[in-house]
Amino acid sequence: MWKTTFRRIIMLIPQLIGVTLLIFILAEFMPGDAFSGRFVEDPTIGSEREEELRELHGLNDPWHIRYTRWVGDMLSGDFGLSLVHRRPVLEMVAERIGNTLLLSIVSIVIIYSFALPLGIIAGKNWDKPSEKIISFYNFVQMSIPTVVFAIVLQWFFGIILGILPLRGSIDVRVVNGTFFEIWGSRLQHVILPALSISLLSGVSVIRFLSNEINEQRHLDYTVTARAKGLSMDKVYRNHIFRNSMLPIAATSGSLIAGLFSGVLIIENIFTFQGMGQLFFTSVSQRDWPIVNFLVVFYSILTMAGFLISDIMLTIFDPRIRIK
Amino acid sequence: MKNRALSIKKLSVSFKMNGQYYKAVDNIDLDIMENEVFAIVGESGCGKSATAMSILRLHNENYTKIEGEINFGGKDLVSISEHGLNKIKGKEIGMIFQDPLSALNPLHRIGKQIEEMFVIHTNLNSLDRKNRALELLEDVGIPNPEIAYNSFPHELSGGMRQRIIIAIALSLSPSLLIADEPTTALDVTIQAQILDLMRDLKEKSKASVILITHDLGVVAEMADRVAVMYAGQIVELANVDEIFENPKHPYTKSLLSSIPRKSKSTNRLNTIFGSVPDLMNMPRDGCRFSSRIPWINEKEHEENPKLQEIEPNHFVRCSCYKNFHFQDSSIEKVKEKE
Ligand SMILES: Nc1ncnc2c1ncn2[C@@H]1O[C@H](COP(=O)(O)OP(=O)(O)OP(=O)(O)O)[C@@H](O)[C@H]1O
Ligand code: SF4
Ligand SMILES: [Mg+2]
Repeated sequence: MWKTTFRRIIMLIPQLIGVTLLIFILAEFMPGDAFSGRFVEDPTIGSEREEELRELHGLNDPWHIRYTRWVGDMLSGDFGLSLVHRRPVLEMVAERIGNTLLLSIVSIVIIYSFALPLGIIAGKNWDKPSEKIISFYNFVQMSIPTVVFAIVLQWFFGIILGILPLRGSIDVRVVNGTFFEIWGSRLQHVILPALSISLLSGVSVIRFLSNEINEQRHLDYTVTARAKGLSMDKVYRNHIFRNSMLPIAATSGSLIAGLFSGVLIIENIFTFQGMGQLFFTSVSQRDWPIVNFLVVFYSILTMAGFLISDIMLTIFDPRIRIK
Repeated sequence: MKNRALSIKKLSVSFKMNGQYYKAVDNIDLDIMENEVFAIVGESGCGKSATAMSILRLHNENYTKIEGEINFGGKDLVSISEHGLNKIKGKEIGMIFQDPLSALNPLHRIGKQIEEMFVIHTNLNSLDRKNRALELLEDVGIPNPEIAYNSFPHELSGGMRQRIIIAIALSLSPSLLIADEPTTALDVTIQAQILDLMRDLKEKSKASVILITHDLGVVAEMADRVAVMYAGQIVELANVDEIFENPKHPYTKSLLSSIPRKSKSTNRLNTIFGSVPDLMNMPRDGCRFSSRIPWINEKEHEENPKLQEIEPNHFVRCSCYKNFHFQDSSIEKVKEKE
C-alpha cells in the first residue's frame, strides 16, 4: 500500500508543473499588470518611472525566466510580496486561512452528519414514501443556485429571526475578548455560510449513497447473508452499509475539492474574511502574486483531496490493495 | 419407507411486473426424502431457482408472492414468522449458489464469512469459531486453511471459492442442502472435483440434497430422483434410472436426446424448437408445451394435461406421450441401437 501511495505522490509532480504553467500563462494573457493604471492619479510617477519599476521587478523579462523564478522562489519558501499591499503573500494568507479552514471543516461535518443518515434512510426504503420525500428534497435543493440559497438563509436567520449574523467572520467587539467569546462569535458567524455550502453538496452524497445501497441490496452476497439466517436489519448493518460506503469514500476527494470552489463564492457573499474573499479582491486588483499563490495552493489541496480518497479506497477495498 | 425431509404442497411463486403478479412456479407438489439427492432439471427460465429460493423465502418480498405450503420439521416455511425462519436458514437448511464470486462479500475475509454462521446460530467464543472454521476449510479440501482463512474472495480461484461456499453451507450440519447450479460457473475439471466433494460430504452428513441443474450428466452421477420442470410446472418425476431409461414426456425425451451421445447411429440432435416462454407471455390455459412441438396434430394434444402416476413412483403430465414422436425418426434409431 505504501508503494502505491508513494507512486501516487510522485505522479503529482508533473500535474503540479502543468498547473503552475497554466496559471502562469493565464495570468500572462490577462490584460494589464500590477502597475498598469495604478499611478494615473500620482503626478510624481510618470510613465517612464512606471517602466523603470517594471524593469526593477523583472516584469519585462522573458516569460520562461519569470516562470522559473516564480517556481524557484516558491520552492525556497518565498512566495513574494503582494503588489498592492507590499506585504508578504504568506502573511496575508496566514491571516485568513484559519477562517477558511474553520468554514470548510464545519461544512464537511454538516454534510456528512445529515447526508449519511438521509442516504441510508432513502436507500433502505427505496420506492417507499420516505425515499420519495428525500428525493424531492434533493430535487428542490439542486434547483436552487447556491447564491440564492445563501441569500434566503441570510434573510431568514439574519433578518426575520435575527439570531445569526448576516456577514463577517467575527464580531469586532469581541476580538480582544476571552477564548469563549471569540470562539462563540466565530462559530455563530460560520453557521450560515457553512449551511449554504453543505446543504447543496450533501445532495450528491445522499443520492450516491442511496443508489448504492439500493444496488448492493440486490447483489448475490446479500442473498447469501440472508440465507445464513441474518435478519434484514443485520444484513444492512453488517454487509450492505459498509460496502456502500466505498464509493462515498472514493468521491470524498472530489466532494472536498468541489467544496473549495463553493467556499470561494460563499465567502464573498458573507464577506467572510477567508481566502476566497482574498482571492476575489486580489483578482480585481490584479495582485498576481496572491492570486497565483492561491491557485497553486488550491490545486495542491484538490490533488491532495483525490489522493486521500484513493488511499481511503485502498484501505477499504481489498480488491485494489497491491501486495 | 423413508421419512420426508421436506414436503412442498401446491406451491406457486409469482413475481410482480408492471403491477401484476405472474406465476413463475405454478402449483407444484414435491416430497424430498431423508438422505436422498433430489434433482430438479429443466431449461433456463423454467422456474428451478424460483422454487429453490422460495424454500427460504429469499426473494425480494415486495415483488414476490408465495402460495401453498412448504413443510419442514413440522413447520410451514411459507407462513412461519421471519424470526422463526431465520433460525432455520443456514442452521437446518444450507444453501449453495451458482456464482461463488458474487455470492461472497468482496470486502470480508473468508474466515469472517464462515464464522458469521457461528455468530448467528451458536454461542461459540471467537477461538472456537476460528478452530471450527479452519476445520471446515480442511474438510472441503482447501490446501492451506490458515491462508484461505485470512484471504479475501478475489484472492481465491473459482473452485476454491465454491469450496468456501460449501463450507459455509455445511458449517452447522444442516439436514437439507439446496444447491442451485453449484457447478455451472466452474471449469469442467473443477466441476468434477466439486461434485466429488459434494458427494463425499453428503455421504458423511446424511443430509438430503436438492440439486438444481440443467446438466443431465450431473443428474446421472448424483441424483436418486429427478423432477423435470417446464414453464413453472413439473412435467415428469421419477427415479433417476427410470428417467434415463424410460422417459415418457416429450420434453424429457427431448432434453435427454439433446445430450450428445457417443452412439454413431445418429448425428442429428433431437432438439425441440424455441425456448421457455417468458412469464408475461406464458400460456396459462391448456398445455404450455404444445407450441414447441408443432408437428404433433392438434387433436393429439390434451386440453388440460394433469400429472399422473403411470407406474409406481413415475409421474408424467399428460397421457398423449403415448402418441408422441420426434419430427424425424432418429430417436427410433437411437433406441434400436440401445
Ligand atoms: N425477481 C424476479 N422478478 C421477475 N421475474 C423473475 C424473477 N426471478 C425470476 N423471474 C422469472 O421467472 C422465471 C423463472 O426463473 P428462474 O430463475 O426460476 O429460472 P431457472 O429455471 O432457475 O433458470 P436458470 O437456469 O436460468 O437459472 C423466468 O421467466 C424469470 O425471468
Ligand atoms: S398436451 Fe400433452 S402431448 Fe400435447 S404438448 Fe402438452 S404434454 Fe405434450
Ligand atoms: Mg436459476
